[in-house]
Amino acid sequence: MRVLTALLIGLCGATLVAAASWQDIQQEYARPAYIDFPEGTTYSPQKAALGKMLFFDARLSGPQNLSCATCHNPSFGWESPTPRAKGARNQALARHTPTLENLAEATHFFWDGRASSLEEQARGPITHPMEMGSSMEEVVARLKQISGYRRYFRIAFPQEGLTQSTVLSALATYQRTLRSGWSPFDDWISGDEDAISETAKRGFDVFTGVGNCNSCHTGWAFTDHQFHNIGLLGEDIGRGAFDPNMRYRFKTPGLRNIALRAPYMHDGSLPSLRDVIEHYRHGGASQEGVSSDLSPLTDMTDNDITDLIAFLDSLTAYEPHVSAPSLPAN
Amino acid sequence: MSIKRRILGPIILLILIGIAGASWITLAAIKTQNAIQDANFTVMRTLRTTERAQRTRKEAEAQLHRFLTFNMIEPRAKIAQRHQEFVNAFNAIWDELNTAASSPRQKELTANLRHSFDLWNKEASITLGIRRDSAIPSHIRLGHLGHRLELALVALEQEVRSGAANANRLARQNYVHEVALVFISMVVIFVIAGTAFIGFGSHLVTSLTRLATAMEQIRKGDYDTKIGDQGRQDEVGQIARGVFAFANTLRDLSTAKSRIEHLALHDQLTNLPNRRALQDHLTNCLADQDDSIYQTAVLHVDLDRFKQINDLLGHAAGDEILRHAARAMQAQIGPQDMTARVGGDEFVIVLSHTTDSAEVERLALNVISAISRPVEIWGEFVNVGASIGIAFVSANEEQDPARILSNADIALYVAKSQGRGRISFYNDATRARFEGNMALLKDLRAGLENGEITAFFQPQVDGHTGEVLGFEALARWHHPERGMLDPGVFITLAFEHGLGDQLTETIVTDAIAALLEWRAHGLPAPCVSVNFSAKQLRDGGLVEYLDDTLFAAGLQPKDIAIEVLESVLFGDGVDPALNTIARLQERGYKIELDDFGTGHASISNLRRFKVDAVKLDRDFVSGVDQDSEQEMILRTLIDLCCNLDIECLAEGVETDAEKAMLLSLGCHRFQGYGVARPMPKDAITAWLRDRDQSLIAIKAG
Repeated sequence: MRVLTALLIGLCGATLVAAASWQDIQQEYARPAYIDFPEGTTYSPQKAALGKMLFFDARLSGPQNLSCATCHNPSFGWESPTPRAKGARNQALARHTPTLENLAEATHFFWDGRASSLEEQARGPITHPMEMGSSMEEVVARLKQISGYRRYFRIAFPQEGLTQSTVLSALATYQRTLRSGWSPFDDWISGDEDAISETAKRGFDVFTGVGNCNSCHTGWAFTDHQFHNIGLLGEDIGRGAFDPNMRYRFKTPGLRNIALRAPYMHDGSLPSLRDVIEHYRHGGASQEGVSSDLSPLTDMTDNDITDLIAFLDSLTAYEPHVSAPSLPAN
Repeated sequence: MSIKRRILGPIILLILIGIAGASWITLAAIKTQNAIQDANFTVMRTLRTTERAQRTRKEAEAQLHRFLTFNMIEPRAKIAQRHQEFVNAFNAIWDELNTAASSPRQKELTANLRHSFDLWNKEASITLGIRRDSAIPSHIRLGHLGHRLELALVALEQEVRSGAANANRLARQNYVHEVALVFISMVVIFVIAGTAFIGFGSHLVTSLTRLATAMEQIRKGDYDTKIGDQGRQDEVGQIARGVFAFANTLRDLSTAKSRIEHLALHDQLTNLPNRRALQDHLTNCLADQDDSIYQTAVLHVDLDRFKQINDLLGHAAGDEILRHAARAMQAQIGPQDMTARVGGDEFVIVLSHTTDSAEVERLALNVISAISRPVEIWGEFVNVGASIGIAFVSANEEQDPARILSNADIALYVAKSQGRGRISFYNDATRARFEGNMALLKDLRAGLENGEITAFFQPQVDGHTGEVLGFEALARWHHPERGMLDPGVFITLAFEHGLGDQLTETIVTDAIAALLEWRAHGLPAPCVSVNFSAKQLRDGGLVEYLDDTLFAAGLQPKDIAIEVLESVLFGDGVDPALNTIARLQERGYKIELDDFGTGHASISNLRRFKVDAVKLDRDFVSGVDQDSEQEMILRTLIDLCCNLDIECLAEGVETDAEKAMLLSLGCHRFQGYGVARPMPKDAITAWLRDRDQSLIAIKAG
């Protein structure tokens, strides 16, 4: 009898502990209701809409052959399905196209984090000769010739009108509104036990347990917005170009819609998630005396990998679709 | 209270209660139906409103989504305006819902809806740029808020539905409760009223049964049955009083009926059974008589001289005599015999247990002597006699009561014709004679009508002078079959059967006619004598009749002589016949006493009335010349008449010797074959003429 009572008390206690940890998990992965716009920036739907138009307008590139969306293709999780996208000059660029989702809260942009705001970031690809090969002056001049844009800018920016900064502001505003869609994982976190498969649930355990993935891919967006060396061999020193202590470090990307975003890594060197996990399992390679932040995951089994992939699949939104706007012709 | 009211009252009451109950139930049903309908209507309206709210919400969300796909650029004002349209629409809807919210739960849900909407609206306004904020709600956040709004609406909708269902259920429950209440109340009322009604009904049935029993008793003849409930004020009391009155009436009627029955079968005066009762009794006797050793005898008793007593002493005396006779007869007969009064002074005694005629005769004689005992009436002793005719009922012959009575009657007739105070037994010879008489009587009636009876006249002459003194009119019947008949054959018959007056009238008429004719021819016809019976003298009207007839013929009273039997003078001074005689004498009629010397003529009356003449009977006259004793009687009679100065006429004078003797005795008036036979009128005419001529011849010679 006493044994039974003790057993019951123990069971209850275990359940309480489990419940507490589950609540923590829910809190950690709960999606924020609001998009906090940084100081100095303002939101308006007109700005966002104008930004979307500009984002899809190839006339922002020098030869007018590609738009932002050409490489940041929403159909591929705002990335390109190639290891490295080709720019306006039809030459492969240096790094794999990063995603644009869930960046409103970020403080560093580009793989190496060289831009501190989305406005600043937007200027980069437009003016980079290898990428869109244009200049802000050219862009403003070209847009001013289009009456539709002139009117839209008047609406969105009644005071400033069409200027280099308003073009960038519109693009940044639009990009801040880009949030990854609601996924099965979100349903699960919200309490729907049947939203994801048991495999995926086990995968989540691997993600937070054996895989230790959540040491960097933290929070609802699965990123700590920090820079890490994951032991990929290559000449690109990443953040090291601005900080010698950060050589070979690159920004942690979020994992939302990760299944859509192959190939992976800043150089697009790993074609599948399994390759990525295998890479982490073995631990990163050292280069020039700089060791990777990773250590081999000796406890991880092949099944764990499968589970982990299933979990990562559950991060894909139900509706990743994004409609394209009609653009003013002239 | 009357039974009608007691029966109709509860029925009407129950009908009214039934109507009230039905109305109540119907009203409750209508009320419930209306309540349900109203609730349903309200609910439908509310649900329509919530549906509109859902539509509005969807449209608002769709618009929000359209704006937030960022595929178009609209001025802030326009967006705000378009968004505000939905907000206004929703506000209007919310006002409606808030007004319609009836239960606290609905109000709470409505408030929740408002809160949800406000939250959604606030964040949507931020995303639409209408409201400034650095924190911009994500699509997902807006989706969640929209969903929460939808859920709030759905919750309200469900609450409205369930509230309506609840209200309907409550209304129905209420209705059921009300119906149950009405039903139970009505059952209670019906049970109470029904019990009271049954009690009243059984009480009524008991009363009616009691009355019915009483009526049955009354029907059986117990008119003194006690009838209860008479004091009651209702219809039963009325019936009871009616039954009581009915019983009394029935008792009276029954008494009256027995009296009537007694009267119908009894004579009131003597309290003897009457003719009808006699016939019934006789029929019964005849029926019982079969195989009996006894004979039944029928005695027909007729009082003698009753009519005389009745006329002389009055009807009261006659009644007393009748009662006396009845008592006398009753005293003589046995308990199984019967005395009945069948006529004025006629009685019939039925002896049902007789063995021989001697016994019956003895009894009959006893009856006569009992009746004949003097009766004291008003201080005077009156005598009445009786004659009795007796008939036996032969076991194998006469069975018809009427025939037997007729037999006794015939016997009585015979007894009477033999004289008074006699008894006579009926036998077949009696009947034959009687029937012969009856046949003759029948012929006599016809003869009187047909003029077969005529008067013959026998002359009366003076022995000294040969002068015709008069004629005696004598009735002669020229019977069509039997030829000429003498009066002896039919006179008695005629007088016994009431034909006397008619006969006398015929004779008087013929006499007058004859007188007139003879006188017309200048022949000597001083007067005609006509015979009258004592009865005719007693009956009134004779004097007037004669006066009238003579006057009409232009004759005088002296022309008609009234010839009566000396027995007329037998009665005492109160006999009306004597009175009539006195009156006739006053008028100038000549009174002749016929058959003088044979009867019981009272000499004193002879003296008192001083009749004009007496006619000496032929018994004294015939052969007087050869019998000295007869001569002595005749001489005495003649001397008596002479001494009393009464004319004296000898009848039956046949020979000259007799004539001579009579003349020598002093009687010179003759009538008889020695003078002339009775002849018809015309023969007398001729006889008178011859005589006249012979007288003339004698005188001439």
